[in-house]
Amino acid sequence: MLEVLELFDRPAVLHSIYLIGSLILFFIGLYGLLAKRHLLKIFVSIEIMELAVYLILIAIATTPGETAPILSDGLIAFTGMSDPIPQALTLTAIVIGVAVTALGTSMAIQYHRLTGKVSVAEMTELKD
Amino acid sequence: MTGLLAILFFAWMIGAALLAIRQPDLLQSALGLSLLSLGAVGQFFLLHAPDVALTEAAIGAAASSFVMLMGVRQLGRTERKELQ
Amino acid sequence: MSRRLPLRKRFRVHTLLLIALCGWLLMLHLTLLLNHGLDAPSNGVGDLYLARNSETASANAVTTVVVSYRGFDTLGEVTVLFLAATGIGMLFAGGLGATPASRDRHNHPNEVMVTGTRLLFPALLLLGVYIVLHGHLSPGGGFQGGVIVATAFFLRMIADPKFSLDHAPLGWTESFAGSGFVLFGMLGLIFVTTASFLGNFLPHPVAAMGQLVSAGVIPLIYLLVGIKVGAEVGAIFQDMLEADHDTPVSARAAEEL
Repeated sequence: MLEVLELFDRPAVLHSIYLIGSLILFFIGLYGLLAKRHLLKIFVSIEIMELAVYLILIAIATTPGETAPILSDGLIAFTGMSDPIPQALTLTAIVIGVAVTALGTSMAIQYHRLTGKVSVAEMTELKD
Repeated sequence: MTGLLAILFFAWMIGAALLAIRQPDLLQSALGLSLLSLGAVGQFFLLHAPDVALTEAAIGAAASSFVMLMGVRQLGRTERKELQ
Repeated sequence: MSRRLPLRKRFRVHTLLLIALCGWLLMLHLTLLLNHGLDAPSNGVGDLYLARNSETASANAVTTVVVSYRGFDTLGEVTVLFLAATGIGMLFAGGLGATPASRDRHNHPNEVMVTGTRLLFPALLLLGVYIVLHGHLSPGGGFQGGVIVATAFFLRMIADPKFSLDHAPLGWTESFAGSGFVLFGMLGLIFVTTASFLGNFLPHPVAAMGQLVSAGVIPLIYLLVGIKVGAEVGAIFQDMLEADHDTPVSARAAEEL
């Protein structure tokens, strides 16, 4: 039993776990984006895909055994820490993500108010 | 231990994502999104990224679900059958 | 969605097949890519930043990257946030078919909400300010703390229908913080000792690392970012809540909820 647990902690295996899990999440989101018609469901799907991409970005940048890039008790030098740049980029991307989702939801609300429709399949104003 | 915890968190997150996508009740869909973000907080913490974990907890789990709830209040709670 | 439907009716089979194909291809490519990159000792720009990080006297390397080394990124990010907030404000500013009905005061928030918010509001405010001010020492910073403060005000808005944030002071706060950010960047450009945009021109002795007053200009810039993010997210919440209040739809939807 313990051998199996240690097998999971090897760097290559851990990276594979994160890769496979994030890809499953990403493609669940992609399925929702393509198959659902309700506007809010589409925004939910986009958020799921965003989250999967953040997870991949951070998981690939961290090797097991490194510490968080913060100097705290017992640490005196910036060595053996995980890469801070993907973390900084992800941090800003999360904030942008929620702002863009809020803008999209507001547009959906305003569209629903003007036309009473909630589905992308019914958006045919520009067709005629 | 880290690997096992990562797998458990992934099971949680995939369940929450399926709830968010498959559920015809949009309120529960927003709830699923919030649960997914909560799982991601644990993942980021395991990956030694406490800054990102804090951001995800404040924004993904709280602010984002507020935005979704406002949308659900305006667009109606149920996803109609023919739209699925 | 009911159980009696056959399996192929409950999913969109073509979409599912397409996605399985995409997933297989992406997995193949990522595997090939990672076989070349992961096992070698990484020698990227991140390690260089980490090695030079003690010169900024900030204990949190992520904060250093966000505010100092990649300050332009943060400036652009704040600009995107500002544009999104402005867009939402313009969408709900009336005119576009919105019928300005009187705000319905009839659906009172329930007792648990009101009492809980009374308890949580000061604690959340304190937590947000703490996280902003300790951005260079512990996890957190301007983005997280600003959003927590905005969330506290949002809870207050839900619990008390008469409470609302005024748009004019919010706008002024936001412009003040944004101009302060650019001003600090320009000051770093002017001083001869740094001569770069967002250079750290205040004294920042390495011996003071880990104390609250350290790292020179980094906490000040993160404080301005926190004020700006808090004001913008608060404005977004206020706009969406106002839009919820002044439609006849809200009465029907509120009953459903």
